[in-house]
Amino acid sequence: MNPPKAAIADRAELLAYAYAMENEAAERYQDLADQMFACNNDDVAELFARLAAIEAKHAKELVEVHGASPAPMAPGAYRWDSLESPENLPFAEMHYLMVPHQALQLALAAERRALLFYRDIAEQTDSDDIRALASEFAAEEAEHVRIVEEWLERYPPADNGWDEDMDPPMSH
Amino acid sequence: MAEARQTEGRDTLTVAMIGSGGSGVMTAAEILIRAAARAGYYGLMTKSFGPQIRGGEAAAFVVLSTAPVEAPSDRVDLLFAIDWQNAGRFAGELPLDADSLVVSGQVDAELPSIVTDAAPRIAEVDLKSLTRSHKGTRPNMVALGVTAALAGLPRAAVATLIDERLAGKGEAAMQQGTAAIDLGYEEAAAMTGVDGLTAAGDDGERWIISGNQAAGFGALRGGVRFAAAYPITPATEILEWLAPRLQKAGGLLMQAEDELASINMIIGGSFGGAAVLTATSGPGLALMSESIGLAVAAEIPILVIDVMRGGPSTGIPTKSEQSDLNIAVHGLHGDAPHIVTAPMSIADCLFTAQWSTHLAESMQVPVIMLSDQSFGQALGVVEKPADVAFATRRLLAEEPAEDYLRYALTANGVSPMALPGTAGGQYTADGLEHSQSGLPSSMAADHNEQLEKRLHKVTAFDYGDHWARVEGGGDAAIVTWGSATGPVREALRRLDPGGERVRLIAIRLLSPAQPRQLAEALAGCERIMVVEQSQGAQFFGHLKAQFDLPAGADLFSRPGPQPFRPAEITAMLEEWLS
Amino acid sequence: MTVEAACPLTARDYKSDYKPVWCPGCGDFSVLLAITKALAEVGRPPEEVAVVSGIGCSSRVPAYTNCYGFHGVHGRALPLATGLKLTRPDLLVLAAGGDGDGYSIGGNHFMHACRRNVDLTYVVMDNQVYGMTKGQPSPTTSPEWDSALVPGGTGLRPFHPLVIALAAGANFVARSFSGDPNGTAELIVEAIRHPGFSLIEVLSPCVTFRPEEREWAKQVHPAPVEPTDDRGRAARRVLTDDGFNIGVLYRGRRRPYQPPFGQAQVEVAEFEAEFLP
Repeated sequence: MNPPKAAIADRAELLAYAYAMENEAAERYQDLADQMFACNNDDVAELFARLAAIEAKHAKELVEVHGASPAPMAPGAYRWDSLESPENLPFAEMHYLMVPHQALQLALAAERRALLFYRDIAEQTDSDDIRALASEFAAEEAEHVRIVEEWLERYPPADNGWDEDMDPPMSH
Repeated sequence: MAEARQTEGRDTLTVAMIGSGGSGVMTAAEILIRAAARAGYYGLMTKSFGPQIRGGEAAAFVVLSTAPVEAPSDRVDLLFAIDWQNAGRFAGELPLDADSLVVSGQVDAELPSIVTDAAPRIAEVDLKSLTRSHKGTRPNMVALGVTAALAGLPRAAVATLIDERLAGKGEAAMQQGTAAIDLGYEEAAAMTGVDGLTAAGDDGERWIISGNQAAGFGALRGGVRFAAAYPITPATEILEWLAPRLQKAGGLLMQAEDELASINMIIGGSFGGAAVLTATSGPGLALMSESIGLAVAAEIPILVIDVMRGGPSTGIPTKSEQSDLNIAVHGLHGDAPHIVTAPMSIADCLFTAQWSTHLAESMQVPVIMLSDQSFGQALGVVEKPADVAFATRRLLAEEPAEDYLRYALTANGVSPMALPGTAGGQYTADGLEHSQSGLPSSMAADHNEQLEKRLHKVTAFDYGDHWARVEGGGDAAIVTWGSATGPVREALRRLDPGGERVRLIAIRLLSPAQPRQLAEALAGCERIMVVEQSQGAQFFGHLKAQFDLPAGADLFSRPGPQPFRPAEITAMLEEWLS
Repeated sequence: MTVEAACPLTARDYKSDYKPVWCPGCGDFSVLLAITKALAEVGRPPEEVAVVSGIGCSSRVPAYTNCYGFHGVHGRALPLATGLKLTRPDLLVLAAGGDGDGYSIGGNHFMHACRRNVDLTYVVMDNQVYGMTKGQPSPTTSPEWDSALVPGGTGLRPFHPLVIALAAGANFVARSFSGDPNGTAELIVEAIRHPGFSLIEVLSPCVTFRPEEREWAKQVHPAPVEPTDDRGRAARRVLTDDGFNIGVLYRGRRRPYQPPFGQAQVEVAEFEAEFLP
């Protein structure tokens, strides 16, 4: 869990990190969408599915436009600041009754972490090449932040008692 | 050198040898029956002993005959007692009478009432003095000499076996062994009161084998290569026989931490593709029943051999009873079609274990084989069993198609099974009800479909003639199973040697029931007698539930621990038939 | 650093299309991810991997993977996995389950699997509660935890799986936290590669019946000491630590138990001779 920024050695490594982050985010949003579909929270599920599509597109561009390798590094090879890649919404933050506003707040935080991740790299690197690329990615994340902020406007915050369920849990 | 006394001769001779405190009667009796087998006789050896692990009182019963031996004898012709310590324990197992010869290995011993009450002829051999005056000779070997001589066995047959057995102990031991045998033959020369056996016929090869060995060998022949088990009397000998031989045959036996582990280990092994078994007795079967249900649901072929003993609970571990039929047939929760088989003789343990493996593998289903203590721990001299070649093959998905479904519905209910390692065949075996793919489902349609599939595959299977042994004709029939079969056959041989009055139907396939076949076998029968060894008439209840038994079917049933003897069945049948 | 050569398999290749039934927020989602990530790194094709489980929320893992799976009866994952591995040493066999399945109803098998040291990897998702049956105390639940079945708490000292594993002979012992799927994946990779029986105890919160376990995220920390190969030292450490040390705690040197299988020296017919009198 060492800070990776200064350690980014070259363009290939930055692309590896970028691809891993976008790809994991896409997979994570899809997993979360599946979770929400499974407990019939379709509003949040659909939001996550849309976010998954955006991140997947981003990952694909990394490969097609920038020549990133879709081969992942070993799980232990990445050095994130956090337990997971910054753009991942932690599984632990989920609740089956969560409302879109809550989901989008989590997404916003994730997109901001991604933005910061690239911005820090751009600021800390000695390489012009890496700085240019990281800045480009940071700009894209800023766009994601903007999109999510815009979406957030459309949904009301959660009411008090949003997590109340009058039925007991089911046993199996 | 003394030879066996030539007498008028008899066709069958029953010998009992008793002793205590490590007297070696089991070894002596085993040499006796082996020597007889070499001389061409048939035989049956059973054992009885006290609760001690070592040094307890022990009795060996050996029936020798010129004809196949189906059952324990009604009476003891010759009893050799190395000592009389606690001999009263064997009351009920030592049917002596005035025609019996009792040889006491102790001079002027106080004879127990089980002997004196029968008023047999008595002889004495002073084992203590004899062995003291002949250095290195052992009392049990002298007793063996006396017994073998009285049985009319050629001295050489016994002496050769002694040599073989003691070869590892050196020349001196071999000489002392044969000297002891010679002493016995000399002592016997002076005795009268029991006729030896007539010469044996020369009618083919003999095997000397226990039911437990036969079951193990049958399973090996059937292809079993992995076993996991927890020790339990009277099944342990299956495991001990298998352990080193599985190793040689490229297999493995794993001693598990308990029966819950054994059954799941073999389910794991079978999931991986091995033909597998576990062997246990009633208490172990009870522990395994949940996981046998898993093997039903997940369609994993396994063989579970239950060597039955007296129950319930710990019961009587060293005695036989046919009282696990209910748990074997009905002991699984849910609707769980599986197979229950039962051998009907020691030699048939071999066939039935092999056949059971065949059934398990062919139908991807658990098979419970109900052997019992009276087969498992008895040593039989039998005709060499036929080597039946089953085309045993598990239906595999070797190259699964894109749309492979592990539990696909098929005409016969058996679906190709993908083994781990097969690309494209990945599925999760599950005790949860599932759809054809194997994924969990609680939908009525899936449940009904899979229940039907699992039932259909065992009911539609062609079991051929193996479902039962059907003999004789006439308008009366005896329906029986397992170890009750031998005494019944012996009784019928006495009462109806031509097989014209009474049919015998011994059922080998207990479940799924074969009502059509039984109806055919019973066609024209007006009277039916069911014979079994359980207090609760479990077999009778099973027949009534599963078959259209004619009204008024009769029942002869009693619990163990004493085995059925032919005289008991004969007396019952005489009355029933009159 | 350099980017590794193209690896054909990713975590996604080990995941099935069948969707988990777990509650959103459950730690087991992360553990499933960690397992698939680890399998991808180890690189054995999915068909050469078998995932075996018993019963419970976490025992649903096999069908969520694209490997061969066995979802057996409650508590018996380890013997089933043992039977499979002994007869199919070519397979990578991973057992998975929860604290109730592994330490209570399967407790005897747990000890003997450690002792037997067959080359298995056992991932236990410990949430200190029975989730599938609606929240009863498990062997690892703290004594005061109140529940409908045991009002006022069990009053019993919790079972210490890691110490038991060490005493019984497990060859690799690690503790992990579900909130760290990458770290968990690394531990699973190491456990798979380590010969013999490996236990990975994953603290995996139950957000439905133990919502307070969400706090574990703040309590876990890397183990402050290097792994040891001294069982006694490892046991002393885990007995006295705060229960939140994450990492490899013990790497043993026992040889795995794997008797030969499948190499016949004789034909079965040869055994007939011993039945001749």
